[in-house]
Amino acid sequence: MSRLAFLLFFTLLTSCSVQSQQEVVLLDYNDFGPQIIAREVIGMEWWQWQEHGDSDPAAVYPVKVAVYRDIPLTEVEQRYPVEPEQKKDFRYLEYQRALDFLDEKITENMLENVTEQLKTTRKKIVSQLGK
Amino acid sequence: MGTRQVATKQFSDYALEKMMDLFHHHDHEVGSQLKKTEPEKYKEYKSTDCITYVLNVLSHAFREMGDEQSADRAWQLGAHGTELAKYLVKKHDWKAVYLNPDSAHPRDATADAVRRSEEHTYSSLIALKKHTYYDIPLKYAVQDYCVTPEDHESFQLLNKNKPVTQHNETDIASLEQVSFGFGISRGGMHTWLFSKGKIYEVHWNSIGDGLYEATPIRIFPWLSGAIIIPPEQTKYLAVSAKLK
Repeated sequence: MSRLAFLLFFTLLTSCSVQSQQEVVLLDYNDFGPQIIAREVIGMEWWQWQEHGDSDPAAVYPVKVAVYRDIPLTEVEQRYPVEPEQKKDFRYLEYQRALDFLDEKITENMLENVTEQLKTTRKKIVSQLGK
Repeated sequence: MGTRQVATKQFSDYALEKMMDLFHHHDHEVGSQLKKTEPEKYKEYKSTDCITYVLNVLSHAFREMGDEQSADRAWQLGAHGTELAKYLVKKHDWKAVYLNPDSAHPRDATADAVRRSEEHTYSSLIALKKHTYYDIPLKYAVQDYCVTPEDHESFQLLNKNKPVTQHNETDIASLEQVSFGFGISRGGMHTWLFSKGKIYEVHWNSIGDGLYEATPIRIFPWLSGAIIIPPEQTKYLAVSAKLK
């Protein structure tokens, strides 16, 4: 009986740890490099509800990127909805697509500073969403 | 008695006329963001912004040249500056020139916006390697015409191990002879027009004197970008500016 109880407890414990693995990690736009490359997977850096940005070069757009794994996009959109009135701009990027993009740019290694940043981003994604 | 020959006007001539007309006479216009926030106050004013200025000028010039179709097409594409640029290059043989005042040491790096400033050096590398700027095919590059001094904050924040950039006067001096061009910054985040060394732009949250502004290209704060010029303007560009 105690063995059964232990087995049940162990099963419950491991099932909890599997289910508690994150499904979404939130990152900043520039975690994917400067706009000239980041736009390939997450679009342009200005507000997505506008056709272009402000004429002030110092204007910033705190766009967030939700990298998701093993959940439907619709659920990510519900959790992190785009709200123009609140200036909340989310881009949604599937896990594998994110890694493929990062690996491609890391291999290309056009600019060392950016390559190092992309490696950091990749580590962050893998550590939170798994390999 | 001799006959007087009238020079045939080119696209650039019509474009420049319209560009300067709007620059000097815009009492009927208001920035689009201002109109959006106060629609009742500005209901009699015509809305404008950076890309609308460009489209007003380009479409006017196309129409004066008898090309209604291209005028309409420009408006259809206009929401996206890069799409408009690609259209002008591919369908009308315009030439794109990559711009960057300092390819190694951008002047806009600040403590809380260093990564954003990487755009300039990265786009320069792509321009030289792939001859593109946001998928716009490039024919020329005019760079390093306003180099950042070593003691500047930005220099110390980004790429400080690279030496001070060597100033290139030849290429920028040739570009400053061009009488008309259409410009893009940060892949279309902002768009503008160009003539004889100055950039002409619209600020969408302004009206009156502040609505339009002219700035010498050498000190234009948007730094890297591209300028797309009609084919008749390429004769002014230095051979050294051509991408190899």
